[in-house]
Amino acid sequence: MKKIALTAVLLALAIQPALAQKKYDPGASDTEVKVGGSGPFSGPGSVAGQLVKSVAAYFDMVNANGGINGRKITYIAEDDAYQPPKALEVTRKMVEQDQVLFIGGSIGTPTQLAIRGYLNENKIPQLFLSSGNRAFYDPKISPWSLGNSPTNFTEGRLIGKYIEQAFAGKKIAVLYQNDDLGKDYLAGIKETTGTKTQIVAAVSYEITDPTVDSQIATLQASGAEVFASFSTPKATSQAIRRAFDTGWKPQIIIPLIVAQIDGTLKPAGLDKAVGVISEVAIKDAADPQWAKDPDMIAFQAWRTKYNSAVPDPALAASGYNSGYMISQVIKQAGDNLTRENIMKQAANLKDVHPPMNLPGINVETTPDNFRLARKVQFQKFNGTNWELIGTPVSD
Amino acid sequence: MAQLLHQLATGLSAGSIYASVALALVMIYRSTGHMNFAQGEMATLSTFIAITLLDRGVPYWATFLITVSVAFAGGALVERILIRPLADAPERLMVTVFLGLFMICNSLGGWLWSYETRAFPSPFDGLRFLDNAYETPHDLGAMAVIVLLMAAIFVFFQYTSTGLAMRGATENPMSSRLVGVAVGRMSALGWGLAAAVGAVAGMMVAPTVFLEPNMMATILVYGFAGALLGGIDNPWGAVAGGFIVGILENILGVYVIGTEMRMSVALVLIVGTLVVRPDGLFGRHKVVRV
Repeated sequence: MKKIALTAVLLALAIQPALAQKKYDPGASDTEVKVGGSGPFSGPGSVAGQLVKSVAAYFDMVNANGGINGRKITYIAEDDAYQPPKALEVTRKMVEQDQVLFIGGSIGTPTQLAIRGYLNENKIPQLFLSSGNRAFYDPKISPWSLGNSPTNFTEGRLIGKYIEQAFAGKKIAVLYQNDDLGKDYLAGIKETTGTKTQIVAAVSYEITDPTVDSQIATLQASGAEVFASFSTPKATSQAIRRAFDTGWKPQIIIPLIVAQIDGTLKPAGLDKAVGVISEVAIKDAADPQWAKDPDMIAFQAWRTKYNSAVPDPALAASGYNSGYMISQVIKQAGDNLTRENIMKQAANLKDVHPPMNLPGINVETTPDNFRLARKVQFQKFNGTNWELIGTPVSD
Repeated sequence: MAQLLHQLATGLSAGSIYASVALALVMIYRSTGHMNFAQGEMATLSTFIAITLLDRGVPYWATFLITVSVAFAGGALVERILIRPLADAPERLMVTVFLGLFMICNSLGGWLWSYETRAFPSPFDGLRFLDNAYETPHDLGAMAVIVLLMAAIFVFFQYTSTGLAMRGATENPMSSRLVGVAVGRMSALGWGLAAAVGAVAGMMVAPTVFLEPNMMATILVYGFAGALLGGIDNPWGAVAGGFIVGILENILGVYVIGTEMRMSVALVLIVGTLVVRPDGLFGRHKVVRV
């Protein structure tokens, strides 16, 4: 009898952990996981909001296919109008009223910076947002934030590495915006050049400067043959056109965020932008070489069925990737759906390939390195579209 | 040396941008006695109208004329609807009205034409005989347009009876009315002309800085500095002031204070002029009979 009682107690003790394995924080249950995200659906920046709408559409597909680990994903997408105070307001609403488990898939640097403090203080993960600001990629600064993009600093390093490989022996000129954005790029490129190449001039401009003509004259006088322009679309267009018009004609390299044919190259003049090099991580939906790619076929089917309201294929692809990353973390977390475990899983991604990324462009995190996107592919503009050049460069 | 020449040349082309806005400011000040902060945004709206016409295939110079006419009518209309009822309002109130007008025009531009950056064509780009290492054909053409515009404004105020009537209506409305000047009509005419000058400025600036709703926002500060420096009541002074600001800003930015401080040059010039020589370098001192 005693023996049976002892066995029962031992059995109970053994079962206990198994029962306790199902752990939930607010927003998670046996049937549902609630996630929130925000972006500009109205106002001047509203184009970017298409990304967040695409994340929501991604989960429509996930739910139609049975959810994740048997749970339905409720994705709440809010309009923050690209205004920091509004972002904080909708985030508090999602956390305190809607009770989301975590925030994920948002876009907008100033808005996401505004909610970073609130989320980190309350230990709520802020995952896979689209911003290159380094505050989202450093566990020492914000242990509960982890972005989805290469940081501006990483991009600067990658561009530097590429120049060292492809343009050995050349002199480099750098134009950078005089703020966090520009200075992070500059710090990055400085670290990875200097062996076979040399930065001979680095000039800043203010976002209030009507033109960058004076800066281009200074850079031209430096005799550089490669010109890295770390600026917003308008200044980039001006720089590309001016470098052409003055007869300087260096090899121009521009970062990911401004590598838009319509937004950046067209105002400069497509003929003047021939030969511009940039980076890319995502497959171009219009490129026929991916027509038979299974991920692309699945993506196009999803666009037709769930995401027809979003016209921009690149933002749709980014949102699709963000949705995939969020799903990956929920999948990895299993039945332990606490905020702590969600963050732990996000910080332990092993060689994950987001479906819309180019082949070989995988992402990875460790608890002490949140810079998840450390690989890019370079591409060159031929006058009508981008052509991929060389193999991926990694940092 | 080559770099200094390049910097002088870019300073001149930047100066021509500032000078064109300074001219519009002189126009509104001479004809109404006010400083219109929405001048730049009204010019941007006019430039949006121009690009809409160009997109529809209207030839450049026809577009130019239509835009200037529409801007003239628009300016006069703003005066009728918004400014006339406030004719006797204190200066402080007017500043608020102008800021409101600024925001309305800015948002209207973004709402109707979107916030994306767009290229704007120049009528001078095809003039290959103007090719040189320092200035683009457009820069040279824009400078010529500004000098012509300046001369026209000077002649208008100095040698035409309408110009004289307008000056009178601003400086002494009561006496002007007594000698038969239609003061209200003069004010509307002044607003219309200032908006028309702004439209020309917008179309000369847009090919260089690209067209978007905030195109004029910072240029207005530089234009303001130029107009004040040269003398706010004097068209050729304002143009000279615009060029001086452009060259100073470039040369100081490259050789002395660094590119971070260029905006400060304009601000220091504004404050400095107001403190040291409120009438500007070439302005006439205003004497008021008590």
